[in-house]
Amino acid sequence: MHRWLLRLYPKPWRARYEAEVAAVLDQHGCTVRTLVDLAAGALDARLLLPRFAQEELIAVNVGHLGGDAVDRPGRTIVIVAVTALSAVFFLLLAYMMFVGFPAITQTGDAHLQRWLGPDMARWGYLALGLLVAGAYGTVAIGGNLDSGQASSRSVLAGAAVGVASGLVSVVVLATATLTATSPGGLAPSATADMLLMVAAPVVAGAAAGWLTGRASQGLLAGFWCGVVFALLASTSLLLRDLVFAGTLAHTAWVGDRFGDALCNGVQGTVLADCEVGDDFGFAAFLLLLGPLMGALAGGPGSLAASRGREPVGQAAPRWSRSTIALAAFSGVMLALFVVELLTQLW
Amino acid sequence: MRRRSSRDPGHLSDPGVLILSSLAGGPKHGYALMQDIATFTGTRLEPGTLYGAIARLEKLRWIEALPSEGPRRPYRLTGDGASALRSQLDTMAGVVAVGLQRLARASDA
Repeated sequence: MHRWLLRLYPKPWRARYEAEVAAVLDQHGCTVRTLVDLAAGALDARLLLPRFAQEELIAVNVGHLGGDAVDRPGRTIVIVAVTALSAVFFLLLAYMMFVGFPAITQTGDAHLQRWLGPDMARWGYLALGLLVAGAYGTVAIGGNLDSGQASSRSVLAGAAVGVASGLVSVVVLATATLTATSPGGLAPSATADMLLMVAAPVVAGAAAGWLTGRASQGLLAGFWCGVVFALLASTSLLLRDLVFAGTLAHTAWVGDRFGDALCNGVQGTVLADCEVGDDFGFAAFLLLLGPLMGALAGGPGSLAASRGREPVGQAAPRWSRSTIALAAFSGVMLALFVVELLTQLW
Repeated sequence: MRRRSSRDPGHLSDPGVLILSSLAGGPKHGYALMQDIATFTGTRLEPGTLYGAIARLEKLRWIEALPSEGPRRPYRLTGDGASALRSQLDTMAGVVAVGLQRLARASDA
């Protein structure tokens, strides 16, 4: 049990003190109080131990760790940015659901109301939004727990390409919103998002393969590219709807056709509610499948780009805590997507 | 709120003082520290608390590790650590003196 608890400590701390603590425990014995103290110590080492410990312990143990130093500032930026964007997305969703477009769950496109009724459906969508945004925030932290030099580069390369492709998505969306006079005029934005969702991770995977010399790093870079892109594209779509719904309901949205007959032929605020509900669905599609498709597309990119390159850093263990976090996140997203396919939740 | 200086041992100052006091008697490894501290305080530090404090004291360069003896690594007090301990103990002695004096007055009254 105490061996397992020692694994909760940060890697540099373990490299420096684990053997000593294990020797002490062999002599001292292990009581419930000892286990609680070790768990509290792990929390302390992760959250409260001054930054010195992380940096200096790495320096002390550079031989033990094989010099596999990670880009901590870059990784911290990715964690903070993805977590913050997830929170913005959720807050935007909640505001639109309860304040901006309170009648949205009365439209035909809001399928959850068929089971729960309009009022409860609002809370149901909010819970789904919290689940998805929470999963993004959690994987941002959990997916970067123990990455080495190679994976650190891949995460940064993926996030950078994700930002670039997300900005392209924003520009295309803004241009289409300001210039479209019919539903067809808005179509390039959705098409661009679909293309970017597949093409950007290939670029990210190629960049990671070239930077690390490791073919497997394309999966990681593609995943993070998909994470950042999905968050940027979906958040900007919701923001566009919040700001321009009043205008679009009298211009580019007029005459749009929906899968649900209740939304066809409507006008004004009801049309806006239907369109916003439709965009919620597209945002959910991007968020649920973006990282998964990113990982799949990133692999081939790095396969080609890593050929002939010298491998950087140490080969990561097949199932580190980071890869488990990524796999768990992907599983949850895929499960939600399958549920949506089967039940037409949104 | 007062900002903590980088030399402030922080919220684990008590285990820190106990460790420094123990090492003032000579170098010791982790388990020997626990036993020594238990002898002169009656308090048994658990390993998580002990090594959290050791990590902080090492950063402050108030203690330093000596070459390992197998899995055990002894630590010793540095010059800075001795100065810090003396300063801390002087403060505590002042607190003890004032506290005892006031308690005596309170029981006389």
